[in-house]
Amino acid sequence: MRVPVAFGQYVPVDSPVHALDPRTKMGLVAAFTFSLFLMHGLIGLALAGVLVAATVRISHVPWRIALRGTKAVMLILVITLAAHALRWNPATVSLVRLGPLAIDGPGLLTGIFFSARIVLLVVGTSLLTLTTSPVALTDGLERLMRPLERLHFPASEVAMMLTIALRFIPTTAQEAEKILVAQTARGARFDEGGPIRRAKAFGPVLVPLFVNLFRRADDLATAMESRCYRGGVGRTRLHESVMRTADWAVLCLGSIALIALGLVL
Amino acid sequence: MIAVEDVTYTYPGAGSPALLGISAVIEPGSWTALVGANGSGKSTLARLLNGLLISSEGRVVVDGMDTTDEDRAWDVRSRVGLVLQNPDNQIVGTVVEEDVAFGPENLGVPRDELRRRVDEAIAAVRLTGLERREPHLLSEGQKQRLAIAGALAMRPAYLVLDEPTAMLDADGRSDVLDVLRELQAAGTAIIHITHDLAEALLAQRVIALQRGTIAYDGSATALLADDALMNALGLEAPPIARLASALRGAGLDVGAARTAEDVVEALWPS
Ligand SMILES: Nc1ncnc2c1ncn2[C@@H]1O[C@H](COP(=O)(O)OP(=O)(O)OP(=O)(O)O)[C@@H](O)[C@H]1O
Ligand SMILES: [Mg+2]
Repeated sequence: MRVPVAFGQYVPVDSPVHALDPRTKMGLVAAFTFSLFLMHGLIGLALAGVLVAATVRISHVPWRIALRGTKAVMLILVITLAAHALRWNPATVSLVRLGPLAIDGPGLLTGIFFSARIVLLVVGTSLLTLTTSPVALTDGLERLMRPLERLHFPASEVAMMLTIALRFIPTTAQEAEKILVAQTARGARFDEGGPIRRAKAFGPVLVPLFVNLFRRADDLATAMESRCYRGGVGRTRLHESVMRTADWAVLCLGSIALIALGLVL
Repeated sequence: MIAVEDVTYTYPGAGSPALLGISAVIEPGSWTALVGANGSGKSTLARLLNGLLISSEGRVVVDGMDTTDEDRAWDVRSRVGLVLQNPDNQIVGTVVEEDVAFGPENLGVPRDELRRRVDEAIAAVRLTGLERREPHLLSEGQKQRLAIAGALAMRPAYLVLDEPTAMLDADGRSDVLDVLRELQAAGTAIIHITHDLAEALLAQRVIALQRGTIAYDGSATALLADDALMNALGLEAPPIARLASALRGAGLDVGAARTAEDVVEALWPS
């Protein structure tokens, strides 16, 4: 049985954005976030919006997917907008009035400003995970954390843990699916009763899943030791992301431009 | 040469030893099958061979390196590759080539040499073209060959496989066995743990364990011919061996037949 597991949200296409080093993209996302919080006018946000839109275009990520993240914050957007724009029985002049409820002009603008900032933040940062494979992301993280090794922070071990987690997510999902089918065949029902009853029904799935996970962990430790794993010391890498000149250029110019934008607008 | 010298091993906290006074010599380039009932100590012996377990008494010497010598532990492990039964549990990398690279990466092999080793190992197990494939998208047989490639990338002189075909279907099984045959032809010694005597017939030598001791050490054909010993070891002869012994009983000696073709050839020489 083959379960298609599309975890994360990586869009595997070729584009100049995909080709950037993960560290470059992380740096730019940080600068972008910083810049968004520096801005205090809608003009700045509009410009940031144009930038994000351009990046989406260059990265060949479908708009539907690029905007998917905003769905999760829809409620926050509505509340933000309402909190800023709606007034109850205001004494001042307002844009629209519906009985005691009124929409306040300047309030609406503030609401739009804050909501737009949330949208840009969500779409802009999700571009990092949309254009960087989980493997490259882990690799980038490891490289970023590497200086911390001097402070005895186990950077490469942490990266190894992340890699193994990534490796076993699909396998575990497949296994869960198998157990689910097996228990269903034995008459277990997962679609009946209230939430508590349903949660309880998953016990017979989770127990064998965890037992198997521990057995797996045991084998994995044996296999890793057999293949001479001894922590990060002296380890070389088949693929190591390298910061090319283009990466440095994009990172430096991009961050400076973004921060400057935030300061000015 | 791997020399197992009077080895006894008791698991921590276990009452009785899992292996008791085992001695054997594994020659470079040889093919040895290790058989025996469940719990007879096969996996324990496998882990002693690459120094994952250290014997309580006696010693294991791999090409002159004592496995108790901590300074040589990594040399021993790269010299004696270990492949386990469940391929899923021993694949570390998120894509095929990353996984094959794992061993030599740990050894600190420089990048261009790494690339060469990875490509070679992938070619040796016939997975060329699947370098960027994610492991969970491979068939079980391909996964097991990937696990073998992972061990091969360390350039081992000996490859210990603990029931490598137990979870595979017929195709996956024969692919793995083909790869093992090619590896042995290229000079790697194979130590093949199996419950399937038909597979053990591939070996020049069969070692049978019984409750932690060596009950038989000799050729596969001689073992198959000894019904009493086979019974005592709880082993079941493969169909082809049963056919050969039935023919022998009827006065037709077909010799050391391993396959149906061997029997046909013995009966009607071409
Ligand atoms: N981690 C352990 N701790 C304690 N005892 C163990 C451990 N692993 C194995 N044993 C015991 O050691 C003995 C030999 O086990 P081993 O796994 O080597 O047998 P095996 O021949 O590989 O069996 P199988 O055919 O089931 O794989 C058994 O009695 C087993 O119960
Ligand atoms: Mg075993």
